Amino acid sequence: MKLINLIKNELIKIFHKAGIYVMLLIVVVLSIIAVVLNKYLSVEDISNSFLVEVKMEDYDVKDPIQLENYVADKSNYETLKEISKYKYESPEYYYLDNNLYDVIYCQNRAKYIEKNEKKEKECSSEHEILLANAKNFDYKKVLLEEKAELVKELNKIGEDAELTELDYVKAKILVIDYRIDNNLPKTYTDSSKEIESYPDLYREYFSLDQNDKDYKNKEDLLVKKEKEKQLFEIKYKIDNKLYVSGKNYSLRDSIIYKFTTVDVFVLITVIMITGSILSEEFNKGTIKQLLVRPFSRSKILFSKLIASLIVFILFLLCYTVLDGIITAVGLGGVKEIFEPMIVYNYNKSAVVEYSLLTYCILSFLAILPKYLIIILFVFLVSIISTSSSVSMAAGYFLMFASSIIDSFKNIKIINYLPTSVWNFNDYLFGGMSSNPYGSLSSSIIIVIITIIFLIILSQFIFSKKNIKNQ
Amino acid sequence: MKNILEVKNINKFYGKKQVLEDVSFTIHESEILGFIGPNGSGKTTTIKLILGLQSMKSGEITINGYNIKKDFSKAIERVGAIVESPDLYMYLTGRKNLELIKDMYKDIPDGRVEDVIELVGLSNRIDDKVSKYSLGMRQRLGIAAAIINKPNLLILDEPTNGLDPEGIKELRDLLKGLVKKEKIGILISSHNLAELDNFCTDVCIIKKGKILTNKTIEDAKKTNRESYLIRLNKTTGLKKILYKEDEIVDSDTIRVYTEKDNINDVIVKLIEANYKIYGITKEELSLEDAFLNAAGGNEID
Ligand SMILES: Nc1ncnc2c1ncn2[C@@H]1O[C@H](COP(=O)(O)OP(=O)(O)O)[C@@H](O)[C@H]1O
Ligand SMILES: [Mg+2]
Repeated sequence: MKLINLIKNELIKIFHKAGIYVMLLIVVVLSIIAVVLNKYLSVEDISNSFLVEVKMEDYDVKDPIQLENYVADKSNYETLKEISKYKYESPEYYYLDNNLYDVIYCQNRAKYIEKNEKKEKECSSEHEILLANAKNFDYKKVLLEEKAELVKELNKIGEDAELTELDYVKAKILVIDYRIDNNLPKTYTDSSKEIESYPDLYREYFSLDQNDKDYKNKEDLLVKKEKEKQLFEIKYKIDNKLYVSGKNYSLRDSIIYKFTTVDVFVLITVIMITGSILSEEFNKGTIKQLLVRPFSRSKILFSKLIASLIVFILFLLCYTVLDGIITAVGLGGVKEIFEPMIVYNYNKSAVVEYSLLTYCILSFLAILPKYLIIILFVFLVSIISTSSSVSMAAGYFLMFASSIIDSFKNIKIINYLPTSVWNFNDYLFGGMSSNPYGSLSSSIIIVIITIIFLIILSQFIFSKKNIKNQ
Repeated sequence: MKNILEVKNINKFYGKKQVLEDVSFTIHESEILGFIGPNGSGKTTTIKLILGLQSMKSGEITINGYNIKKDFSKAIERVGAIVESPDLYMYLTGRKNLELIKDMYKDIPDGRVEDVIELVGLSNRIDDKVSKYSLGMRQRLGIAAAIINKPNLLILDEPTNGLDPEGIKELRDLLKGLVKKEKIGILISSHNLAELDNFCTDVCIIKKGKILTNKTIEDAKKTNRESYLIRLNKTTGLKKILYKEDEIVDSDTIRVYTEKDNINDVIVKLIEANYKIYGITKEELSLEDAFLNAAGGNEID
């Protein structure tokens, strides 16, 4: 009961200071900016607004190479100009982006290089047809044409072709059928891109050795496993008709992101709070008032640690809620957060469904060791240095150093450092470590030992600490 | 009388430098111990050792019978302290500061916060942020914070620092009231003897980490003989009447060292020698004088 009072006091102190509110404000402003940019400006819009007209004077057209360049650049320019009339994620954009350049190039080449008027006319009329198609776009017609081509190809390959080649074309037909049945034109949206990648993934995956035991090199096995995961997740979604047009995953993605990655704003806040919760009391002298109370020093320290963790979780939740509200209002996607998450489990060799809540909790537990070790490290440095800035700098240094260390995975020792194993995300849902020597149990052991070591060392140093005279 | 604080032979080093050497003293119920010494003599260090804020090489400190090292929580339970300066959270209100401290003790009645606010006279400004307080108000809030747990030992490290004479007087009255109301012992340190005159019951002088003298004010004053100032019409030709140590202060005043019972004899002698007596005053010895004497006439500062 008394420890709870101490923790409550620490929280009161934190919530009466501006720091945490400033961070929340920054986060809100940034997420509003992100939503506005996302809604009204795409990267393509921005790059298209920098389009510069291609002029003949700028090229030395007597030189055949320069002439080639001119034709290519001009075709590119004319294509982009035409395409930018449509929204990036629209089917028309996709359609023109994949077909228009060739005919325009053909047209320009016939005009400037081949000087073949007949061909120029042919290409020009093809050009007109494409534009007319886009104007009254009928994606089903286009898909059916494509399917007819594929069926022809299938018959031509015949039974004597390699099995994978045959399956590849069949997979392509499967995707087209799925698109037609479920009203899914080809676009540059994430889900459309995902379905589109299915045939290639299929071919690549089945051309690999299927027996895991044959893999001598862990990197190669990881590549195979990664493809396996992608392939089976997409297959599951196709089989269960989970790709439906009009889905909007903006909100769901914004939520998932907070719990599957160590977010930089959460981290900055955590380091700020932990780095100052003790050292500020040392600097201002208020630590004396805290230590002349009927509590052991370890209780005082513990209360501050728990308070830091509570603020960390609260901040993460507030951030998720605020960013979620802004995203939902700006971009929508509330309905979709109730859909299950589709995840491939290597152990079961099967796809499993999780609710968003379960998925977020599990993912958060997987990255929690990383947060914990950083928090405890900052805490330890603040006890030793009694300086907020030194301990905060130490936190950022640890982050920075860990990503550098990570790039030396081929040195065996480095794979056993806490900073190499502190993110359990790889293991989640029956996954496997990207660390060539790691296993889940060794990672857990290393993390637990590190955490216990940091706590004991902090307690020891704090209990022996002399409060210097001013 | 019950011992509240017992400091026994404490030794403290900073590196190789010894800053406290065999420091010992005791505080009983209702005692106010003035802990006097120049800057750097080791007052704050001693106080920090008593409060368990620093570790010492050897020695023993007990508060209310509990050893500060072995039984920290019990020993510190009934102590209130201001060390160096009142350590307050500037971004909180005065009331919030007090509530935070109240919540660290069990069994403090709810009305206690109001009581101490009243006692130190901060009712009007208690809901302002401490950053807006004057130094004197901070000092008073510091005292409120130090007594909120009804301590029987109050430790104040140079509480008069930065206060004007008016503030010092207020502080004294506040503390006197406290001692009268609750049977508490006070350890109050200062580098200025005069400030604590007429206020402490006991005095302990520390210099370069060593205790020079440690006795009650009464004892200290007693070791000096009484003196009287006598005003006369003239001060010439007194040599044969007065004793060697008696002094001629100026043209109409002399100082006579003698006991109360003998003062009549001196006056009779003066009258017989045809001197006119205009007045006699007993000289009150100040605390400062008493200790300058006790310390062998050395300057303390
Ligand atoms: N951290 C320290 N390191 C070394 N010497 C110190 C330290 N703190 C205090 N001292 C020395 O200890 C002595 C006692 O200091 P202090 O207890 O603050 O004196 P006071 O409170 O009587 O002014 C001084 O000589 C001071 O220089
Ligand atoms: Mg001092």
